[in-house]
Formats: sequence, C-alpha cells, structure tokens
Amino acid sequence: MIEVRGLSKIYGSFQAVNNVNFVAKAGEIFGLLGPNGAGKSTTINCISGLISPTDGSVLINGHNITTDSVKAKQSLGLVPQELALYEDLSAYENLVFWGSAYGLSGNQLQERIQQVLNEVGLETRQKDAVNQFSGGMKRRLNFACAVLHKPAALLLDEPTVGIDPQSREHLMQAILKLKEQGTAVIYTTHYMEEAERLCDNLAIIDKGEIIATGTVDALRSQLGERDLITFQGQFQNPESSELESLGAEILEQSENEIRLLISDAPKNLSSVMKSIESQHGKISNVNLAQANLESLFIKLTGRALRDAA
Amino acid sequence: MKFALSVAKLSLRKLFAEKWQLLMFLTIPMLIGGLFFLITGSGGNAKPIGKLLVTDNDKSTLSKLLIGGFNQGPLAEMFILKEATSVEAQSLMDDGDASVWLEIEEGFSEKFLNKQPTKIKLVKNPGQNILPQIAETAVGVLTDGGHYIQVLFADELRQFNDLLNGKDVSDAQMAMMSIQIKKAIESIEKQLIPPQIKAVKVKEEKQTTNKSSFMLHMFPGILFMSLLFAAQGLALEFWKDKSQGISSRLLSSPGGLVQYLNGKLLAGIVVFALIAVVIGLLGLFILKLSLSKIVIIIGWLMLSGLVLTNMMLFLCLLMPSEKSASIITSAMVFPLLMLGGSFFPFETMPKWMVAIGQYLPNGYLLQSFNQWLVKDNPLSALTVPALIAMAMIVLFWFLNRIKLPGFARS
Repeated sequence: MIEVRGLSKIYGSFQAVNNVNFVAKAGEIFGLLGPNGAGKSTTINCISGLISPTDGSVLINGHNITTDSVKAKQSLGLVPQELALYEDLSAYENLVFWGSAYGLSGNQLQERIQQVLNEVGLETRQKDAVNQFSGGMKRRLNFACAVLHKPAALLLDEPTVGIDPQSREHLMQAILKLKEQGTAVIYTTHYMEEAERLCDNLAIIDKGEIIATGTVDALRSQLGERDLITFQGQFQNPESSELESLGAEILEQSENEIRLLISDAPKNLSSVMKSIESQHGKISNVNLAQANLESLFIKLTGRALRDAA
Repeated sequence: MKFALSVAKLSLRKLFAEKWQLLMFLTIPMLIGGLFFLITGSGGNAKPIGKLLVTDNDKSTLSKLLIGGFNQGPLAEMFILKEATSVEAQSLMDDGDASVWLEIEEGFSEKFLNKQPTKIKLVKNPGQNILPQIAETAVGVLTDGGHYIQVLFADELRQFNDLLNGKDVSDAQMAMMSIQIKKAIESIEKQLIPPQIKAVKVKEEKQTTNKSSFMLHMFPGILFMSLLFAAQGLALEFWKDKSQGISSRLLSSPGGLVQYLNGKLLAGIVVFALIAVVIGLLGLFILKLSLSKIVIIIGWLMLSGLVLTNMMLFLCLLMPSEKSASIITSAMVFPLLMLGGSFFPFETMPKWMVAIGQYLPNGYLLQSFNQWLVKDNPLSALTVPALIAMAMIVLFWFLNRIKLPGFARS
C-alpha cells in the first residue's frame, strides 16, 4: 500500500506540488492524470525517494520513505519516465545490475530474470545489447528492471510515452497481471484512454494540486449523462447565453473551436448548430463523442489535457 | 556489498567492451615513454650527447690537460669536443649548434704556474639545461683540482713545464724534483688515503648500474601518466551513467549510491592493478626490476590511482554538465602531467617547476615513489606518503558520498 499525506514540494518560489493526498491499496491501480508539467513526476519522485518533499509524508507498506528509506525502497519498484538502462550492455546484464541493486543474487536472480523477460516478451533478445533495441523494447526492459524483486508497490511514470502498439499492449498486460498479484500500482499518464482502461481510482492533477479524485465511473458521473460536442470553424465573440438556454454547458471556446456538453446530443444538435451559425460564425467540422475524463479535465480547468502545458 | 561487486563487475565489463579506452590508458603513456627512449638512444644506459667547443688560445701542456678532462671517463660519453676559433665558436653558439663553449685565455699556463689569477670563459647554450650544467660542474671540479695541485706542486710543475717546453733541466734538478714530489705526497698521504676514499669507489660502482639511466627516471612518470588517464576516464563514467538515467534511478533502490560508488572504485582498483602489471612487466624485462619491486609498484599504483580517481570524481561532481566535466578534467590532466613529473622527470625540470610539481597530488605521489624506486631509499620511506594518500582517499570518498545524491538528482 502507498499512502501519500499532505505532500508538498516547493522549488524556490515555485510550488510544484501542493498538499497532495491519496492512497493506493494493494491490488489497485491508482492513476494520476494530468497534463505535462502538472506535478505528476514531482509527486512520483517524492514517493520514490528521488527528491525530498518540502512537507508531508509517504508510506510504502507502512515504511516512511524519508525516515525508514531502506525498508521502504525494498518494497518499491520504479519505472522512470526517462529510460535508465546501460545501452552498451545486454538486456540480461541490465537485469543483473538492477536485480542486485535490490538485493537479488544467485539462483533467485536468474529465475526472476527469466520470468520477467518472458512477461515482457524479450526472452529471445536477452543477450543483445540494449542499443540494438527499438524504443518499445527499451521501455519493456525498463519496466522489467523495476519488477524483478516483486515489489509490493510499483510506480510507473508515463511508461508508454512514444512506444508502438505491440509494446504498449505487452506493458498493459504485465501491469494488469501485477494488479492481480496484489501489487499497489501508481500510474501517471496524460493519455486518458490508458487511465480509463487500467485505473481503479484516479486523481486529476493540475498545477500541483489534485482537482478531482475517485473511481473512473464516479468522475464521469460529475459530467452527468451528457455528450461532448466539438465544433471547429471560424467564430467571433461567441455569446453563451443562447446556447445555455438550449441546455448546453460550454467547456472551452476560442476563435477556432467550441466544446460543449449537452444532453441527448442527436436531438439537440441541429438547434445548437443553428444558434452558433447565426450568432458566432461558420462551422467547418462537428465531432460528437461520449463525455470522458478529458471532458472532465476541460470542465475543471478550462483547458484540454494535451495542450494544457 | 554484493551490489558493489556487481557494479564493479559490470563496470569492468563495460570498460573491456570499450577496448580503445583501455588501450588509450596504456598505449599513450608507453608511446611517449617509447619516444623518449628512442630520442635518448636505444639502450637503458643512454646518455644525452652534446657538442663542446674549445678555443685554446694558450695551447700549452696545461691547457691541453684541462681540455683533456672532457675526453676521459663519463664526460667523454657526453661531449663531442670540437676545436674552434673565437669567431667560429661564437657563430656556432649563436646558431644554437653547440651546448657549451670553453675558451682558455693566452698565458693561462704561465699565470697558473706563477700563482696568478687566470681566466677560463664558459659560455652555455640557454636552450639546453642538463649538458651545459654538467660542463660547468666539470670545469669547476677541474679548476678546483688545479688549485690544489698548484698549491702543492707549483715549483715542480713549473720545472716539469719547462722540461716539456724544451728548456734544459739538469739531472740534479730532475732528481730534486722527484724527491720534492715524493716528500709532498708523503706529507699529504694521511689525508689522501684515509678509509673514506673507499666509500667514493662504492659510489662510482653505483653510477655504472642502469639505475641512473634515463629510462628508469621516465618509468614512474609513464606509470603515473597511465594512472591519470585512467582516473579521468573512471571519473567521467559517473557522468555517462547519469546521462543514461542510472544514478537517479539508483536513488530509489536500497542498494543505493554508496555501494555504487564503492563498486566503481573497486573496478578502478582492478584497472590500476592491470596498468601496473602491463607496464610493470616492461620494467621487469627492460629495466631488470625485481619481481618484489613489481609487487610494490602494483600496490603503490592502486593506492595512488584511488587518490587520483576520488579527486577527479569530486571535480566531475562539481561540474554542471558532462561536457564541462570532460573539458575541465582534460584541461587539468596535461598541466598535472607536465608539472607532476610524468612528461619530464623531476631531475630534468627547472627548480621552480619542481617546487610546484612536488605539491600536486600526482607529483607528490610520484616523487615519493621515485625516492624508493629510483633513488633506492628503503621501503619505509613510503610509509608517510602512503598514510597521506589513505587520508586523501578517505577525505575525498566522504566528499563524493555527500555530493553524489545531489549530482544524481540534478
């Protein structure tokens, strides 16, 4: 179990993380969802002991990461956002290195190396130098290095950035397997699809603060049974009063795009379009979708997840 | 400890995979040493050879005897004598084509025998250091010797000179001269043949062994040159690991950075031992060093290597980037080599340079090493330097341990 209580981190005058609280239980995947620069990596770095928090505490399986760091770190695995591998050594040698960093040796280490290589699908490439691997294979090996010692808690900091679908699927399956085995997982991402698929509980983080937390369903319910409509075109000074009278909630509006939530979109779409075209400008494209976590993020922050940074 | 061993093993594996780096540690110093070897001759006893210009304006027996001093013993191996007029000699000196110019004034012999002041002019080539110094010392020794001979045998020498210059000397005068010389020798016999004279003989024997050879003086410098290159390479490894995300990830592991540091230093010890063995074997065959000396050389190099690596590492950890660490360590290595006695033996360096070099870490360790290896001091002479080296290792290890987490996070 990972408990984060009142976690804050300040760099000079910049508050990177502000009073973050959450718990990731055994056998649970807890997602930290937020745009780049929201404070996800700083939170992960504080939890893993890479940096010291300015305030607050982190307990890994009951051990404080600051005051009882060796025991806390023995229970912890970290998959950092940046690869941490010796490029000129083989996959096998990298696993030996990281396994021994977590106290594994002898037969136990050899057995675990073969197990994790099978789990991430690299068993046939174990003797090859890492610099011959694709980006996705390196990501898989990066993951394998973190789970060699069967940690009770695992931190994954955007583990799927820039990888191919095959490697992404390998990782997803491996993470779900760890969850089944009772590992407490904290997973940071700015891909809402991943968060919705994997996470039991989620915290949406922006500007260092958690702005919403709960299960995926609970967070979705904050949006109600509404659909997300995105209009693209050329818009001028859009007035929201008439749209609101039609039952629409405007999430985001600019010269090129209007996003809104509305109940029963198929029925109300034509009246909304007429209202926009009569008052605001010309519509060139319309996109209708079920409201999702990104919609919630837009609702809460007024910005989209992928361009919020 | 297991993790430290694992780090050491993988570091060595990486190092051996980068064969060029390992070869660089060994070949560059040996190449430089080899060049010096070729420049100074093909044997271990090679000596520098210079040109000695002689302008003998007196052309007397005595002036010839003085010049003849350079044609005997070790001086004869160092100097090629060339007679020249004042004008010729001046021209050659101006062109830098000679090491020394010795000019004996006219009337030298006469003034010498009459106990009057006389002048010997010695002009040294400012572009050279060792040979003009040797010539100056030799002239000093010869004139000192001449002074004592003058005091003891002035009258006899005058008669002898007359004889050689064709003046008539009667049988009685010849007999008297012989008796006077015998008496003079008998009167100073007690001072001339004391037991101490035997000690001088022992010293001469030592000078003929190859210990004083130029290569032996170069040998410790070559070893320390390799050490410095290796220490720089090992220290920069920390930056390479950082750029690959290794050190920051280690912060979250229980193995941690301290064992990582120890493992890296352990790998360093193996590298230093390897350098000592490879270059030491050359010493074994070329310089005929004993096997026991090679063992001590290995130990000293491991100790010195640890000092230099810890210091280089501390410098690297202070730098803001891998590039700046590389630049600053490279910028330091060559002055350290120059001043610290690796490029040129301390014996051939100007005094001011020695004064600086002997207080540099590599210079201090090298000079202490030289005292034992080259100057044949007992092994106990290395005790204090070894203790200082160990203190340096502990100090810089602690500094690196303190600095490493911040370095990994940055």
